[in-house]
Amino acid sequence: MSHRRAFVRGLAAGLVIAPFPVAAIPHGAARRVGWLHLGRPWSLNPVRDALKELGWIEGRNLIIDTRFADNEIDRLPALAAELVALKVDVIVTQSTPAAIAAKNATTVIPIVMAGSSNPEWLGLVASLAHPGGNVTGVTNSPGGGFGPKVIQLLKEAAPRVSRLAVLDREGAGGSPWQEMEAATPPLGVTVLRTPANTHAEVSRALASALRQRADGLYIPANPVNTAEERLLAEFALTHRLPAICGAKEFVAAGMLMSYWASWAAIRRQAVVYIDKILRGANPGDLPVERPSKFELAINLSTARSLRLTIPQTLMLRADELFD
Amino acid sequence: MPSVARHTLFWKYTAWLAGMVSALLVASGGVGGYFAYRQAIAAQEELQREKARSAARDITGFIRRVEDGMLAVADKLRVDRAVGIDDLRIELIALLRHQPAITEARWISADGRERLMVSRIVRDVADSGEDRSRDPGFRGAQAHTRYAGPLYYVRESEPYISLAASRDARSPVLIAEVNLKFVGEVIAKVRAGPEEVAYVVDNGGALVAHTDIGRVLAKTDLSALPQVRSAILRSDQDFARVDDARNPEGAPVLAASEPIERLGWTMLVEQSRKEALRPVYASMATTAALLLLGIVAAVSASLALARRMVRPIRQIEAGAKEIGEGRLDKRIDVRTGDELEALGAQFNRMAERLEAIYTALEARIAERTRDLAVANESKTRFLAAASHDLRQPMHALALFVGQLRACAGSPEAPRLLEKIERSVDALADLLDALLDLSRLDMGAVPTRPRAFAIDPLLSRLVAEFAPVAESKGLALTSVPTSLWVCSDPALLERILLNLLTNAIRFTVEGRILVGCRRCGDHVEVIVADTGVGIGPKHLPHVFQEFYQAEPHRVGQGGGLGLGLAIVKRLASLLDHQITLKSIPGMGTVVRVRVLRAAPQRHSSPVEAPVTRDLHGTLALVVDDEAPARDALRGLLTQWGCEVLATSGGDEAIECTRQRRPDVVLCDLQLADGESGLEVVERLQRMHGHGLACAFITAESISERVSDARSAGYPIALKPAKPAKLRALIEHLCFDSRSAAAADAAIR
Repeated sequence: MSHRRAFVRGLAAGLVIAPFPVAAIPHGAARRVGWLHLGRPWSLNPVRDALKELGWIEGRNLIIDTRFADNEIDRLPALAAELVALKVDVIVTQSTPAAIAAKNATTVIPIVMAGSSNPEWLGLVASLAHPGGNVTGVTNSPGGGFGPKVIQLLKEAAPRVSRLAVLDREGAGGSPWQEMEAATPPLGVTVLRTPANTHAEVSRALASALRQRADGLYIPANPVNTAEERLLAEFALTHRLPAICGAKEFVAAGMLMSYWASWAAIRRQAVVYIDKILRGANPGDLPVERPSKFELAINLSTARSLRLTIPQTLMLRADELFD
Repeated sequence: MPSVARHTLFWKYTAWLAGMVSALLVASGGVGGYFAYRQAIAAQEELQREKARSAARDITGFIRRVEDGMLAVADKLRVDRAVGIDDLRIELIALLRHQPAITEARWISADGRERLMVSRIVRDVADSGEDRSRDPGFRGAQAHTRYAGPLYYVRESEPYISLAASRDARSPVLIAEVNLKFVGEVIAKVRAGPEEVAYVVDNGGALVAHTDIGRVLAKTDLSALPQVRSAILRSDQDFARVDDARNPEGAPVLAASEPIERLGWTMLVEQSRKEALRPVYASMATTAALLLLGIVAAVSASLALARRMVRPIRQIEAGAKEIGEGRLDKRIDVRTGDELEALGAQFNRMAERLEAIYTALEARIAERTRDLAVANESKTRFLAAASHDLRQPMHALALFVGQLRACAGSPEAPRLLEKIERSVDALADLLDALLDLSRLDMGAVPTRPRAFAIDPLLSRLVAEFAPVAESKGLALTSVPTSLWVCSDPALLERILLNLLTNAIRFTVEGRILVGCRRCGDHVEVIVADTGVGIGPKHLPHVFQEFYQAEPHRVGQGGGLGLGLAIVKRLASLLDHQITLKSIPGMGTVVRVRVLRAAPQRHSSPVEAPVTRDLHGTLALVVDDEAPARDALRGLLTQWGCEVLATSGGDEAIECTRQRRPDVVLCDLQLADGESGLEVVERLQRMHGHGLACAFITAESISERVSDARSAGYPIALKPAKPAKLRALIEHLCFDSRSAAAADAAIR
């Protein structure tokens, strides 16, 4: 009888002491993850690290296939098809066009959106709470009311901005300018429509902004704008326009501010989806998440060159400061 | 009744032992396993409870920290009564900075008007002037300092609650919208085992937070789960085990819960029952394997033990079987030091005894066989002696007859006749002696003991033997005595007659004395002689039949060596002890011990036979053998009788139709199986039952003889001595018809 008691004691002790990892190391054939990105190639190391924490080790039970379109939207369908042909277990898409291309390429292979705008509106998912199909992931659309918020932040930094050129794509989730036009009178800002649907149109939009005597720029994060980072930053600097955009990289490149959902948080969340799907979850049952962390980045040297004083409230809010 | 013996003891023992031990093992294993199971579940639940408690504490702490932060701001701002919007904004933005969970913060003045709204997502609004005085948050905070609102969803998928804080009832109120995804991060820190989840439900069972955020965004309502229901409803701290806890997919789980009272929520930690009990099942599998091992060991041990137990039993069985089959020299060797050894020893003793019995039996058989051999030897001796001794007189007889035929009418004829007669006598004597012996052996001689005076008997014997003694020159005397004895006079006379015959025969010179001596209750009748004596090596055999110590001394008159044998038998029949002492060259003394009797006044002395006249007697002779018939007729005619000689019953009836015979002499066995007894009976019927009849037969012992004897008829045996025959006839004619008297005369 004594050995039985020892057994149970050992059992209880083991349960308390042994730190179980959040997930046990999966076994079986190596899984393939396909990463489809509109933009330029990057290392994906943070993704690898995050996956390793969850038990997916590249080379042992994980293979990552990457396809980068280098900002050429037209290449996405072919790249998506390649990943499908590789019979990957899940396709992860970075940027909305990639998600669309992936969805067009397969309705069977699960797709995780690591950031996309308005997936509902685009038909990628049936609803955020119950996607239904093979697509799920994280959307970086904060929802309504965000545009005015961003403008308010710019106005805090540059109070004298009154004519704001908003460089956005038409037809992406309705007219993006409408909401802002309705919300901005209290802010004392006139919204100027400067649509740029393709890369080619960006310069034209900028020219249009100048023609309309814009004294501020709002460049929301979208695939087109994201690709023209350098062009836009230089433009803003050259023409001494306070600008707020949706990517930290722009601020590093010289733009005054950015306020957008944290890419790190989105990436981390996407990895959670990848893990769940690799373990057999059905993408249609996994709700789409909204971003809950937003980052404010300010370039202080740009502020100085534009002779702007960043108020304390903004400084308090800022998550990253570039000099 | 044969019993079916099968060799199943070994298997029976094995089965019993193994069965018992296995049953015990299984019982103990089963009981142990059951308790281990219960204990493991209890341990697991305790662990879960601990996790739930700690997670609940963490969440409570989290909320408290948010509230504390809010309160700090509320405190700070309250102190400076006239606080500008800019300072307000700074404070609220700072709050947002410190509390990532707060998405939106509002400052409501003490009278309920919104002064500032700061948000991460939407545009900040200052002095909206909105009336929030009826907001439950506002009221709650003013009443209780802190307030936590119910769960609500923003944009359909984001769980939020409102928290409100205020210093007191007259202070401004700070309201914050808290994104509950951050609670999920607290939960994510719960160290979950495999297939274990932790989640929070509000007081309605709706999911507030979950290790899997997706479930929260899906707005899952878990109020249907039994453990959730029970957790929400319970009002006390004690955990009540819910045995049918299930997860939303329906799989059974082990669940523990802990209330988060601050918000009216409940923290639950669940693990799939299968996972939770996996180690228990593993240990039970181990126990089962050990049990199996134990059973195997038990069976092996039982086999060994049973073999040990059964071996001595088998030995005894085999040994007993061999003894039973007759091998009595087999001994069982079982040394177990217990009852089995005792049993084996008993079997051995039994075998010993059987062996002894068999040996004794065999010895007795050998003895009997020896006796038979001796008897056989006697028979052989007799046959030898008989054939020799019988042949002698027969031979002589034949010669004499031949001689007589040759010289019939010559003067030598009478002498020859005498010799013939003597030979016939000798033969008759021999046959008599044989008959007597065989009759005595058969126990066919009745004894009629009575008291009588012994002196007349002695005198008569001496008188009878006097001439022979005189002719040999021996002095034969008897000592007179007045003693009475109790014995059968005829048989006693016979004994003494034989003894005297021997005495005379074996004495060459000297004397022979016959006398009596009183010996207490007994009388010793002594016959002493001064004869050649009997040597010591002959003494033990002297009473044996056909034994002759010195056959050459027998001489004429014959003797088959039966005299003393007859004496011995008669003596034992009469229960008289005989002692014989002899010294070779000196003489022999034989004593017969007889019971003494009181003298009686009126004695009936033994009558001596008297010869009477038979002239004119009509005698009927029935004999189917012509020579015997003729011989008898001749003899009877010589005696003066008128003889009717017939050969069978019918002829006899015919002959005597006219005349009644005085005496009938009939052969017992007639021609064609006719019985003499039948003939006699017919004659009796014809002539009246007073007919005097006697049988003459060559048979000595047979049913016919005993039938005739029991019918009361006297019987004479062939060859019958003429004197005897004459006495018989005289008796039949003149004496009483009692068989006893006739028998006495015959003897």
